[in-house]
Amino acid sequence: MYNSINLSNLRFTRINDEIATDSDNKIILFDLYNITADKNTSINNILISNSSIVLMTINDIIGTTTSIAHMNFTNIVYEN
Amino acid sequence: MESQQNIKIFITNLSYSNISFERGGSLLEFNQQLANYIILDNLQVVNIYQGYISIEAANKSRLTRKTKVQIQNSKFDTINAGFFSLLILNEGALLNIMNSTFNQVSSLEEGAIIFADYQETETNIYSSSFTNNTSVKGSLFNIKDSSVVRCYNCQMVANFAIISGLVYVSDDGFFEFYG
Repeated sequence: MYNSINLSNLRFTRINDEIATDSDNKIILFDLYNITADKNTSINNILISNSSIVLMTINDIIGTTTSIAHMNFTNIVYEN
Repeated sequence: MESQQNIKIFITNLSYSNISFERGGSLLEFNQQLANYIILDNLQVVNIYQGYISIEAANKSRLTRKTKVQIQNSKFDTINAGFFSLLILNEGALLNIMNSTFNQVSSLEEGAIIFADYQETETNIYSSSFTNNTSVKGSLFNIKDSSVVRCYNCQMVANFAIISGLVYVSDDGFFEFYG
């Protein structure tokens, strides 16, 4: 189990998924799921260049009426 | 992104540049149905071919919670949407756009900026500008099937379409403009 997710200062170049436009067959760098409300997620300073890839999917975030899961993403750059 | 629970998501300084989708593809895809808006602050989208942002509820039987997205302080420039629109909304979508600029966005279809499709989608645009955008029909917005686009304090300058210069509305779509 984890208390938080922190990803920062990552660089990805020339990662090519030839079938990235096919929604059933995407290759995903980060697949986040089952994140509960007492966890915080922070992802900062990500560069993806000259690539054809899905950075991230987020599924099944479990918040409650009394606590809220926080997710913050800053400085994410896709470029070719 | 797809989730159904109570979370707050902020995306700040997200940038896409020089990206081409030969068959069309999503830059961002939103399907969440949360209590809160997902906030995109300072989103920059520049020099894109056939990339779009799609917003649609994952669970159509639970539309008491919309798929809420807010784009603010953002810039969209030099985008060839090809046979798509930059923002594609379907059932359950609720979009706010604030303090943003859309320049040189073109489409070979209808509505280069927003395609408010089936059904009853809602878009509110505040204090934003639209310049030099083009499409075949309705240079900015294509609004259908009881969807609504509202503009508050927006500037629209030098946009061009062959038919319906700014907005193409059909099948009980609504467009409202407030000064």
